[in-house]
Amino acid sequence: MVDELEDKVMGCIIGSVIGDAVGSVSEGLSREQFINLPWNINKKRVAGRYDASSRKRASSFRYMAC
Amino acid sequence: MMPLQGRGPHPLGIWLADAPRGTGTDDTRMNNIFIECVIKNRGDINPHLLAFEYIERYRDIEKYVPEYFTSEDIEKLALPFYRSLFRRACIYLRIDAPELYEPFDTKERVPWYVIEESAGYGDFPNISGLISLQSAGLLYANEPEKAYKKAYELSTITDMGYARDATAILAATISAALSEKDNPLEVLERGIKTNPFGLRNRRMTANQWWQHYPQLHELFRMADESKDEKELILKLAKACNHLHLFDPFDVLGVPLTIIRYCKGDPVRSIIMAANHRKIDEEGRLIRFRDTDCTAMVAGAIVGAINGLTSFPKDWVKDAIEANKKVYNVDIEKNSKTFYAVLYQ
Repeated sequence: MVDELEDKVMGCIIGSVIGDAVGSVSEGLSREQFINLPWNINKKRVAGRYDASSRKRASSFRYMAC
Repeated sequence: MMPLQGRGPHPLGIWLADAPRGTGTDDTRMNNIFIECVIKNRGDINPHLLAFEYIERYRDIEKYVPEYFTSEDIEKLALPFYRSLFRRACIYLRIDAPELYEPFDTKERVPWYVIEESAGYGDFPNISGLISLQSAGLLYANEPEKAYKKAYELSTITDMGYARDATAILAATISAALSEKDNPLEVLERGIKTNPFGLRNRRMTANQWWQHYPQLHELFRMADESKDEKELILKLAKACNHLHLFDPFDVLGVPLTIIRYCKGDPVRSIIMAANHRKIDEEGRLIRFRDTDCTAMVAGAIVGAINGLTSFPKDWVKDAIEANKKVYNVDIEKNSKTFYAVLYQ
């Protein structure tokens, strides 16, 4: 069982790698009008801590078309 | 995450052609140096220790490249990557080296005060601190002022001008995110308001001297007024269109704004940040901007707010496996050890 602080520390480090990896796919490209996604993700806005119930939909989402 | 088909290796990009999805770039590699330096020094870190780490990795480069690397890979990829950090470290430590004179087109000996301002990452405030110290805020859980001061101090090696404030604001934001109360909007507010040195006229938050340039509060207003993601992406693109690709205002300000809009949602924040772009007057895409860095900053902050368990499991798995394979870097082990060194 990972405690909350450890989860956040690991989330920050590995989250930055995930962001780097996701962003590196589109970096500098001049094709693709929009990465085919954000506007299709569910619109649920959650105040406070992220609502894990929306994760399943997000994880099954294929967001890059290139 | 899609595999990186058709992308060739680059010193500051990915080091393997057609790398698997989840592979990071220089942002990942630079931050990993910081992480491993903190681990090596059992939680102690200062600019001297980090500068010596940069020098060691350049001097003993064979120890720090993937096993599959050939001597040609080292020459074309690893050395150019480490050389910039090496130069900055030498300047910080006042160590003279032939590499310091390579960026200059003259046979005359360039004075030290010129080298100081020009070697390494150029002579303008840029994102080298943001992409090499994104984990600095983790040193102090819920102590944004301490995190700010430490990041500002560490950024002495690579940053200048308001880039240091940007690196420090990122650290303060991440530190604030490690609190038990993790309302994303409060986290952002605490981060950007952290100003332990009482800096006036800060470019990153409000500055009358930069009144003709985009201001962070203006970007935040765009987030509050946009009806959907597309509208916000286009507004941010227009606001940042004239900024340098590596302007810290852009690379920090845009993810902060997106996280505000997404209320900290990790997936949406990262994907929106990966959509940051340069557009023409009709709003058509010219090209995506430095999206690995904007999405990296977004990922670091939302990861600190929500934790690793908030990311899709396949994203986490891919990121861990890909960087182990391509760089021989175990980000899972390193992040666990980093936490243990600091907090256990």
